[in-house]
Amino acid sequence: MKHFTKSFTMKMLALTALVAMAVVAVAQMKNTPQEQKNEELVLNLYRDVLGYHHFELASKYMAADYIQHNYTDPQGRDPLMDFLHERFPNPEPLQPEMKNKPALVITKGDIVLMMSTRKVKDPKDPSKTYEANHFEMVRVQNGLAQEHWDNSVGPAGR
Amino acid sequence: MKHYKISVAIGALALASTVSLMAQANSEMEAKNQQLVMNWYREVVAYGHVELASKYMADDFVEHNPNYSGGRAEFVAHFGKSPAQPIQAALPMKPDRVFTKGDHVVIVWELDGQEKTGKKFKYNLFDIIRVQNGKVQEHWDGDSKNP
Repeated sequence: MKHFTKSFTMKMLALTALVAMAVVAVAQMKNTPQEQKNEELVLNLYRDVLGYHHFELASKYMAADYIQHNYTDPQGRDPLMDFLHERFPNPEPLQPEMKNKPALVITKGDIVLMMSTRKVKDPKDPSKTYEANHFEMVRVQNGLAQEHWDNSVGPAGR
Repeated sequence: MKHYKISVAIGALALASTVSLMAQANSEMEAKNQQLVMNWYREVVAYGHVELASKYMADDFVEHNPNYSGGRAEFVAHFGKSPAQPIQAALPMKPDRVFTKGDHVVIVWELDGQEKTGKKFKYNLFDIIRVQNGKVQEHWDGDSKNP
């Protein structure tokens, strides 16, 4: 009986541990080492180049033939950097933290998706605000940002 | 001839590993989550069958779209405004990309836009859906509040 109880308890403990692990795995799927690299590359690109405007660092993060899906922005890394440099001529000091940290980052294989949330004035009542989401998506290839999509353009944009 | 077969096999393996690098395969649970979300999107959202809401959506579902934010009741009220259409096997519009990481399913859309000048362009919209206990639990998109 003791043996039975003990082994039963052990089995229950093992089962509980398994269930707990399964729950964690469901709740939050961890990045593979490659996904972790891809995610860090993209977050650092957004921090250093697009956030603090250090356009001189672009080649560290972006492929020369960067593909742009936002039709108001130019194709290719260098034309995009020239375009942004005109708008933001003065870089800010680099910081370890991003300027606008995304609320959610989802990396799957070579795709990194960032969602950031900001407070916007309610068009029906300017004394109120609501939360609007902005999306940025980057495809990584050979360790560099290769392609970009966002929702800046269109009915939900700007 | 044998060597040829071997090199074909190696080629296939190399190709398979390249594909898996490009598009990380879904785990069994991710595949389930993605299937749930795409069926929900097709039947309830796209074809408007809000009577199926409880089959797919948690009782305490959370909607972040500012035009019908709240819970499942607000969602059903919004998508129930227009009459349901016969459910089809395919979505009326094919997403540009769907991917799933753990409990989050992402749908990326590419749409056609036109400026006042007549200039045509493409733009993207995004949906994120979180799955919990086999049900659609939370939804975000990039919509602005209607004036």
